[in-house]
Amino acid sequence: MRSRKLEPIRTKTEDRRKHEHAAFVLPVFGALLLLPPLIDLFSAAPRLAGIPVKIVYLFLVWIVLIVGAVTISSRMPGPEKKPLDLSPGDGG
Amino acid sequence: MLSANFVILTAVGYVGLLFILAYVSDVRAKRGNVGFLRSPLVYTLSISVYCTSWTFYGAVGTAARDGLEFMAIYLGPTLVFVGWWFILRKLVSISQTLRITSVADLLSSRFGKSSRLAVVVTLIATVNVTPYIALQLKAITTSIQIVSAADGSDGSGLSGLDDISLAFAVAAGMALFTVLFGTRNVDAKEQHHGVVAAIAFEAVVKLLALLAVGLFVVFGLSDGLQDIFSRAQAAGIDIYNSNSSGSRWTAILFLSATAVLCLPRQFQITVVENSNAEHLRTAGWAFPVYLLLVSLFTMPIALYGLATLPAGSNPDMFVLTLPMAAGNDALALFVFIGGFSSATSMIIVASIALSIMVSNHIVLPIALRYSNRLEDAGERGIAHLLLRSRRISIAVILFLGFLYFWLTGDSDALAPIGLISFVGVAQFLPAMMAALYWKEATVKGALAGTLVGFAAWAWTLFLPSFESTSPWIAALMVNGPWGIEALRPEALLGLTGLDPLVHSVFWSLFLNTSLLVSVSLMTRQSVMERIQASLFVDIFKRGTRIQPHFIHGSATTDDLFFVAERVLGWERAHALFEPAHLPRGAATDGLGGVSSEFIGRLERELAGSIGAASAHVLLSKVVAGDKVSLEEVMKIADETQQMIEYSHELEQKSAELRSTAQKLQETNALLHALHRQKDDFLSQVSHEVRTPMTSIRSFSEILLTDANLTDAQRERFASTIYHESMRLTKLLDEILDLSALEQGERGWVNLPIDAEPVLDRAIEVCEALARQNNIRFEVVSRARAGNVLGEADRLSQVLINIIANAIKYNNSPVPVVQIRSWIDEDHYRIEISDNGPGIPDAYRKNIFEKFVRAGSDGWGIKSGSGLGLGLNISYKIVQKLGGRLELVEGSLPGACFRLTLPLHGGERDGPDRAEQGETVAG
Repeated sequence: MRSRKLEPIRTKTEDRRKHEHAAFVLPVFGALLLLPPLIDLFSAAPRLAGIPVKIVYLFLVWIVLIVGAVTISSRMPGPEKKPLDLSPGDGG
Repeated sequence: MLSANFVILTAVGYVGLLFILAYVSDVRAKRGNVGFLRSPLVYTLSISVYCTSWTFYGAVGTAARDGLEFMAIYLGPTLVFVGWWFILRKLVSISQTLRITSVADLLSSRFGKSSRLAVVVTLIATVNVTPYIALQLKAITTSIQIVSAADGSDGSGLSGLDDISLAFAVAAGMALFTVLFGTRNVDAKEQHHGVVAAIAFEAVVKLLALLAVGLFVVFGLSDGLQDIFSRAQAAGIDIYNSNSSGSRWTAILFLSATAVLCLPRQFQITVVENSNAEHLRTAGWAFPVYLLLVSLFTMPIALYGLATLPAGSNPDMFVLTLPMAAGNDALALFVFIGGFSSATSMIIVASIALSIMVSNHIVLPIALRYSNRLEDAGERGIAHLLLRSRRISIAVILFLGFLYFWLTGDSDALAPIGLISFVGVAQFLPAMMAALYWKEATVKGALAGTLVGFAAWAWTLFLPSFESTSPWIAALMVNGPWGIEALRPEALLGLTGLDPLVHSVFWSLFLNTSLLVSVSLMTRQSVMERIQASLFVDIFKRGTRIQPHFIHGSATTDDLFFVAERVLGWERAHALFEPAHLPRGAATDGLGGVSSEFIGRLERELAGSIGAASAHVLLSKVVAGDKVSLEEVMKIADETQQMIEYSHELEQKSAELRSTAQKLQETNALLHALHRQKDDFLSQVSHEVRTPMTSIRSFSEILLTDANLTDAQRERFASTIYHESMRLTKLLDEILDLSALEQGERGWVNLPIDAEPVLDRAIEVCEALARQNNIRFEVVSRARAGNVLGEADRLSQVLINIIANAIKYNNSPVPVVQIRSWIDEDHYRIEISDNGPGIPDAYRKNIFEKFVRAGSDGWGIKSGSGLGLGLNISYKIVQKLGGRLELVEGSLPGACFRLTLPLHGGERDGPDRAEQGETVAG
């Protein structure tokens, strides 16, 4: 008899943390993809449908970054978590 | 073909449209109807002020010259915006919370509201932005020139204007627009709805223009992308240009990412004009999309231009010349308007940002310092001063830009100014990152880093940009100053082989960061810096609110209101003071009714208009200058201090506990020892008691049971019983005596006595015993008198006990007991020695303990003659007399006991009788 697998419980905090980590990783990975040595891989590469592969690659990375940003932005915690509030309160 | 008149009139009409748009938006905003104006979309579009004419026209030029390098200029900001959650969100949150008005304000606020830093940053920004504005003017004049180049008419009407007048007209027009919409009022937040609306509109125009020309080139003039690339390949154009090295690509990517944070205009639009940090959520991906669309057709346009236009045409103007070459005048005009838009939006925002910095950080501090007429300024006096100075500085900045354009117009010094300016503002980056993430950074570090980085930039990059205009600079670059080759601007310390841009980026930022870090580590922060540092770095941490508030001073509410009114105007000041229920009018003693929180809030409100440093200075004039109460200082000391105190307390507690545990252990050990002693004592006593009891019992048994005893026998037995019971009584007496001594029950009062007669008496008492044992007394020397504190009976008990011991245990054939007494300094001493067997070494240490009898292992002492309590009792008595009883090395072979008692007051004996004693005691 196979033992039943326990479904991991996913808490909101855990989700949030993961999204934050993803938000951090996205620009870092983006930078790695756009910097030597990775970028040099495409310096002498062939053409793709007549277009140099490096251009295709750069735009592809760009689009991936944008899609990643859309995904993460929509999942980041909302405005209910306000930063330190020093604005005028209700007087006195 | 377009006439110059028509082009210029179109531009003027376009600017008119911008005026109307800005005006309408401002009116709408004033009515509180800001809905669309404050949407994430408009915010994102306005950020595109990043794309100036340098990128509008220049990107194609860069693509034509340096291949894909232009993409790095867009990819850098893309990375920053994609990672908005980390840097931008924090920057915007801090700026909104603390009402930051500019980069200079941000840095000055973080580094203890330092005015010096604000001035330095403002000056650096001005040096960087002025050439940039000149570049925009040049782009506008060049584009007008090109668009109307084919126009035959000249010398008449508007076309008669030369470049210089055109540029001047543009600068003047922009100054007018900026003054009108950029300085309408000094706001709580430096937000300009009209300007933002115009910038967003211009962003749409320039994007559409670029897309239109791109589509026209790719699908109108040629047969799709593939066609363009193959045509370029056929023409022998290689986009993999060898010029663009990996390090240059990296440097540009980094610089553009930095610029989107540090450029004054970017900071103004992205951070200061941001109305809601949530808008970043949209801008985080929407701005990269905008950049992607802008750069989509750059490469095709460049390649098509290179392939089709005659050699020698300026690639920077391909965007404009391609539609013109194709005869599409409408598109050319649209593109011209697009380029015009990108140039004007940059000029407008940059001059607003700079004017805020100049007025808040240079003009106002000077006015505050040197003007005592603040009181006469009237309502909003400071606000008016600021507005005036802002208007003047806008005009001055634009005039400077124009001047720069005029002086360098014919040379190519302007062309690379875009990247040069990026490196210049990148000098703010180390301080800015330190402001956001590093609490230990000090204002001295920030100042040193920024100044030295700026100097390195000026030397290695800005100066060389004049190489072609000044032969002196050209010579300097070849030979170095005063012929020092190590200082050549583009090969500092002989570092050659790098691209000049990379060279400058490396040196300036390396020096900047190292100085920031090392000076920060070597210097100390002021209290204000520390407070601001935690406020900045911990902006998202709840519960750690360290309110940066003023010390209570003796300012009245009226004074505060007066200051607020000068800056904010009566209405806003009233709105701020009213809900706080402050006792107005009556001059309360001190700020009794004004909480320091309120003063803090007031300072932030003021900072929103005039910058943190100036707000602080202004309020300091009213509030500070008073004695700081201890209580207030304690409040300011942040929770770190509390933590330190707490941990210190804990340390003390644990040390206390440790010492208590130690004491307990010692006590426990002592108790154990005492317990053992008691057991020993008991067993000893029982043993001692048992021996006489046994003999008493057995003899009395014999007496009772045996009737045949002779009288003599009976008498002997009775006498034995008598002696044994005597011994028993004596033992019990001694034990009682001992326990009384130990428990201090049998107290006596030590009185001043003369010890000499006591010694005489003791010798007399023992004389009989001595004669019995044939012992000779030798009294060697005697003190004349021994005035000590003591009790005569007790002292004689001790002396008799010792003398008797000396007699009893002496088994020498010619037994001698020597007695001497003398005065030694302030002590009276008696020594009793014999020539008996002495005390074996094993007993020397514990001879004074209970039941220790040195003779028990036999030097022929009459058995049972001692109980081993005598010396112990003597020892205790001497202790109680305040003296000492010890076993010393004497002149005779046997034992030598020395009794020492402190002298009491009175006369001392001369040394005459002590001489001999001294030698004996040796």
